[in-house]
Amino acid sequence: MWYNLLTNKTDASSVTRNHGKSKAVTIRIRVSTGSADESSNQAIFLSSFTDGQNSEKFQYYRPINNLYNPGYSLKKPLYITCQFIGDEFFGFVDELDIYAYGNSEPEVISEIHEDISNILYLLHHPDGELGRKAKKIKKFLSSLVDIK
Amino acid sequence: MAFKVYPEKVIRKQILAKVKPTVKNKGKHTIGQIIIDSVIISPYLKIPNNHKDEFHIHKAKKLAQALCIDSHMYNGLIDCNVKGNDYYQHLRDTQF
Repeated sequence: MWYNLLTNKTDASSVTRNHGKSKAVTIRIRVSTGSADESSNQAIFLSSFTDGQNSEKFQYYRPINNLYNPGYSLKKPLYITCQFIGDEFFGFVDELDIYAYGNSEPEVISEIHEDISNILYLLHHPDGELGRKAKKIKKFLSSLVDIK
Repeated sequence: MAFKVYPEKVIRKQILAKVKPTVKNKGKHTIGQIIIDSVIISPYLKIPNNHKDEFHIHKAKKLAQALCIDSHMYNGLIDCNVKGNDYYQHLRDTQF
């Protein structure tokens, strides 16, 4: 198994992986090493790393600008940390305690969209009915999402 | 302590048996909430699926975070050392 991670300091990298002799998968990700343009969903490369088991991994931020739910809109981009580990994509938002995994990045991002809409609905309670962590999540969401 | 790797269905079984989340949604994943005395402690708990795939460390970390526990308690919860009452006492001590 091998991959090449090609980066330059402008805006792009590509990753090519080869699983065994018969199956080859190419993943091309547009990344940036600078700050994100708030109107774009261009990924921001973070790092590549190893897990001590001879499998290299990489991670990046994927900003999202829309929840694709007519009831909610984002005030500012939300950054999903994405990792490609083994043969699986993994994405998470630490501030919201949500994570998703799947065979492709769109699958993961779509699940996270759904998770955020669900969590907004499930946290529709007065603060007195929320524990410490739930309050923290609600506060983070209030700073991020406009409810229409 | 490092997170141990268990099959997803083992983790699911132990969470449903010990944590007893209030199940809110059964789509691709079962979603639950942890509620104590009508107070929502963990608002969004994505419970692993009922299959034999391994639930790797990077996922276990995020699940433990949603459960409000560290790796030691996570391993104990799945290994049977930590009982449901111990877990709930931990939440009462840390989340109110």
